Amino acid sequence: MPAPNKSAERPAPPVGMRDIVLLLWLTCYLLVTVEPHLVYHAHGSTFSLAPEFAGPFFHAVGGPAQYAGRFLCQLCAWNWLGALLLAAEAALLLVLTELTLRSLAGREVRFARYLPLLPFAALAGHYDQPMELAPTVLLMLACVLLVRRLPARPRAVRLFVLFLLSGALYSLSAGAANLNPTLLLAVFALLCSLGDVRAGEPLWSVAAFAAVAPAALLGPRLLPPDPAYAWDPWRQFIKGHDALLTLALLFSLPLAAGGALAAAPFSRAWQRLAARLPRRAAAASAADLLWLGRLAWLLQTASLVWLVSFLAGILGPGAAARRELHLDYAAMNRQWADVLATAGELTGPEITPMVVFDINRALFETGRLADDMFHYPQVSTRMILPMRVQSTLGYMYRISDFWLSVGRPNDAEHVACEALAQFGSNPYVLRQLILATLAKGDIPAARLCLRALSGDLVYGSWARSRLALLERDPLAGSDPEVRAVRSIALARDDVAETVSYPTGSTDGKADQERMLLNLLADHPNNRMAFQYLMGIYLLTGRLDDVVKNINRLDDFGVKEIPRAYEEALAIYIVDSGRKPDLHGRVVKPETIARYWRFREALASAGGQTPAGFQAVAPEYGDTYFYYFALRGGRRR
Amino acid sequence: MSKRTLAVALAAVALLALAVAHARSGALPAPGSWREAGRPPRIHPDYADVVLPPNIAPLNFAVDEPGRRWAARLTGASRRIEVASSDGTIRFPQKAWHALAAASAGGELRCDVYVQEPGGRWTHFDTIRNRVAREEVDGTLVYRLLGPIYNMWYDLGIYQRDLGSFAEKPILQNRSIHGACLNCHTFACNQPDKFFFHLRGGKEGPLMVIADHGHAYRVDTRTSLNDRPATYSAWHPSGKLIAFSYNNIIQFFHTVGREPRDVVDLDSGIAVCWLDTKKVTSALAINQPRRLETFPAWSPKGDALYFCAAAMPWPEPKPIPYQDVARVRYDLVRVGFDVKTGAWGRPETIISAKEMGKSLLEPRVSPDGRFLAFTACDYGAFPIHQEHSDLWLVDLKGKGFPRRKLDAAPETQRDSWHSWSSNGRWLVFSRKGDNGLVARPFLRYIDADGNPAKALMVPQEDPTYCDRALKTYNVPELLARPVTIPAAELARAINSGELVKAWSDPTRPAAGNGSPAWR
Repeated sequence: MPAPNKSAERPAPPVGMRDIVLLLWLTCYLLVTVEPHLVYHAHGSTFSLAPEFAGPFFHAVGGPAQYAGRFLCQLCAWNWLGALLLAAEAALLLVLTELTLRSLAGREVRFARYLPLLPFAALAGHYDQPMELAPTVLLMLACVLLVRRLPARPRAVRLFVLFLLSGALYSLSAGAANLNPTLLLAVFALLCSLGDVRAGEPLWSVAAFAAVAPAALLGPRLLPPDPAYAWDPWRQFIKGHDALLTLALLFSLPLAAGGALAAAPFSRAWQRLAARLPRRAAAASAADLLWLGRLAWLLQTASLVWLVSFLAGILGPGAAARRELHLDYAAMNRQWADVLATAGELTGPEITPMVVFDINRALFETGRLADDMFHYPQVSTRMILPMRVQSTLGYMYRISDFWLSVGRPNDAEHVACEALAQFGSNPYVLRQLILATLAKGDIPAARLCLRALSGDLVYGSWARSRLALLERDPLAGSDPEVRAVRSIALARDDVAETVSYPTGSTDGKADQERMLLNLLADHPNNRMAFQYLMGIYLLTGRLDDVVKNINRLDDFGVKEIPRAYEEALAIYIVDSGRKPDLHGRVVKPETIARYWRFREALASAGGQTPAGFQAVAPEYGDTYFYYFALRGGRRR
Repeated sequence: MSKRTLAVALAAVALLALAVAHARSGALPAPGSWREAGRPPRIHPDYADVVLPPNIAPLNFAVDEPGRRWAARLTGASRRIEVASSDGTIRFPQKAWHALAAASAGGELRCDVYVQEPGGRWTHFDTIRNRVAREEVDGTLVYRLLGPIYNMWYDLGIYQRDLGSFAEKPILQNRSIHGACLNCHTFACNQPDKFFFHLRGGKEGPLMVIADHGHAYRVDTRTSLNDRPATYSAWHPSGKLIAFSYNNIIQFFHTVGREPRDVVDLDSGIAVCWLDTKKVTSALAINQPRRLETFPAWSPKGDALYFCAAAMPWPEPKPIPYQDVARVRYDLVRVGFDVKTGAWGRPETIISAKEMGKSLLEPRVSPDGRFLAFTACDYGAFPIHQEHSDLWLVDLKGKGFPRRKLDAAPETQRDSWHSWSSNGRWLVFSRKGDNGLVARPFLRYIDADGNPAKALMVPQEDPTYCDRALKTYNVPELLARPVTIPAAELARAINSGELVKAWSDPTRPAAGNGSPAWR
């Protein structure tokens, strides 16, 4: 009877436990750092489980993978679900890679199996990552495994299955994730044929490529993934921001397989060495061995976690991009406190005019605009984003949302429709269009859009509740959002006064000030119109207009002058030496005194120079005095 | 898997299949087991009292009566179809429908709707009666499918639909051509072999793309005569030339009112492009200074051109003369033409805008030359964006050109973009009345005396599709046969095909109506 191998008595390397640790860490990383709801936000297109929505996907080449990607993206709307989902994808990737490598190498592969996880983790942090990429790669791996599980003989059967699977793979996933289907099938053939190379039968691997060739070469020509490109089928190349990571994920699989095969001789040598190890280490206690094994395990696992984190950190979008998206999400979901909190973390170039627009909107919605506007850097003299049709979805959404909230539903509808035409069916835009049409009282159009959104996985319940409301209240008069807009909505068509067309241009140029003034003419109690109008005057240094409009505070029953206006009035009084009629209000003497102190401080710090402004910024940086002086004073 | 598990699985599948079959079967309540509602059922689309073509796809509809089960019995000449539904949508099997509709041509189709209440009791509604015309409608409908577009567009295309079924195929999608805007597809005499459409906003600039018997090429229609490209066009029946208007169109947006979109045509004229030489010519008869001319349409014989004309009320088209926009109303004008000599006759106003108090647009003459259908709206030259827009029919043989509004309903349905079938009995058009945002294609039967029937929406397989589809069906055109030129060929022609430059004599037309064309 042979002596028992002592090495078998040693604790087995806890590979499964390492995977669990890695996946748990990945889940936490996704949940805390990536925040999958931002992935949903970045993609943001409507989705329905209805057959009519799925039909076109399942009738199109590559459509099923696209459908899977769209579906997975919807699930990311719920942060925890998205994190679990992406982690589950990673787990599947690990398992399928492990099984593939094991079937190729004929033994357990301990480290190469983690190779595809590295680009996967890096891609997970890319918010515009193509969500159908992982299902496509997993499908390909499943096909590889299927081929690998087939009996080696007869060869013809195996090649035929390969041929069939390549066709299936092509029809299910071609064109997904902007991945060139020929490239995908080449990797598929390579993974299927590596075993033949290992077995010393390279000719059969050539045959494997030949079996895949019809789908890879004729597919794009005869059944292009996008019929619109039928005239030029080779346009389906990898493209987009994530092209390199997509390629890395795809090629990590043959690389891992090649690595596993190349490492086989070393592995055998190591096993022989390990077989002798127990005899040499017989003197050492079992406890020592256990401790050493655990240490090695810990080191390996920590190295893997570090490597994945490092790559995800280096190749991921970075904290600034995450903050930007976070702010975008908060602004588009009207989470105003979050907008202000995130805005506080932004620095220098991150503060764009759109960010400032969000900050001002959040300040208005939280009742702080007239007081705290200059607590935040006002980097632009534009209070309102100008109408620009060729822009991002977020930009257009903001314009639409602003004009709706301020009482111009037609302008809001216009911009929402532009966004819909340009970016496709997007739940944010549809919601906006619905609110605009409801506010206008255009119930048939609102019903159409509500029904279009009612099948959506994420926003469907919102749309259905509004439809139910319309059943009870056909004019939606009881809807507080609708009622609020209607109470301040523009009453007369002012296009002739507010939009001009520069010579040779078909794009109108809007006079935002006039648009707000007309709103106030119709409804003097339109607080938003008033505060934004004053914002325009403050940002452009039009102190005369601030003075002229300060009496509008009466329409809101405000006796005290808000801080930003008061500081503007102080400048006016001190600089011009005039005493404006403030309708019974007074500029506090301490405000006037503070302006004097600011002037003196600035003068003593070097005047209106960068050094001067830097010196007074700690004490006066949040005042209108500072902004006014920094911008060069009164508008010329 | 054990044999027992397999048997259980098979039984479950069989039960499921039975349940599905039962749900789809025409299980109607037993006679006498229902109560009478005493009124017609509420259904949509509105397929009651309509005249339908014998070759149309099944008129599937949704029953808007609450219940837990719905059923319908369709009865025609010597046959009947029974359909049950668990979701309120009645969908007739295509084969049985076609047999029934064909057998009932010239007769009637009656539809009885039954609704089972939650308590289990059935209600029968008054029979819906529709008439089946003897005359078929052309089998193919071509339209532009796009979102509720203002200035920008993303995904649009020209599609063809088999009217006998629900099959829809793209003729060309703009994704194939760098996202350019495709518009105003125009066919010669309802035939698919010769057609053209316009491209705007693409890499190549504004172009006309002509497909002629499987060969496609591009034409730049801008010449020294017309600095702007062709906009609205019409094939001459001979196929030798195309009449087109070139317009200076600006879109603007009203800040109150149901429809924000509006369009002003600041300046326009009509010219013809001779396809053999690609020479562009015009004449004062169709192109007068300080007059706006648009929407050319040939008579079936090609001996007259119909178009719309209005005096230009603004001295200069810059800036937009907002105050005058609503004052522009177009007359319907006709002018004789000799295709052999290229000579134009004297223009004659068929119907004046002043007389009707409307702007008269989009003239289309019936194939027998007797009727002319046009759109009447409050002002301007873009009826699809107007709050009020209706189709009218004028009898060209009648004394004083008698005319009638096609829709009996007093309120506007916002109809526009109509075209005739090749047999002249059907008119297809876009209707925006039901939602105001996007248009749907409708068909209307018009008998030999010009009497219109109630219009019906072109049926969809899922009758609730149009309740939620945010796509507009623009410029519907009927074709005798499907377009066969592959999309790839059209895309190839646009992306890298032959580009022909149209040209014209630099001299301006001589004054006076009826002056010969400069050919």
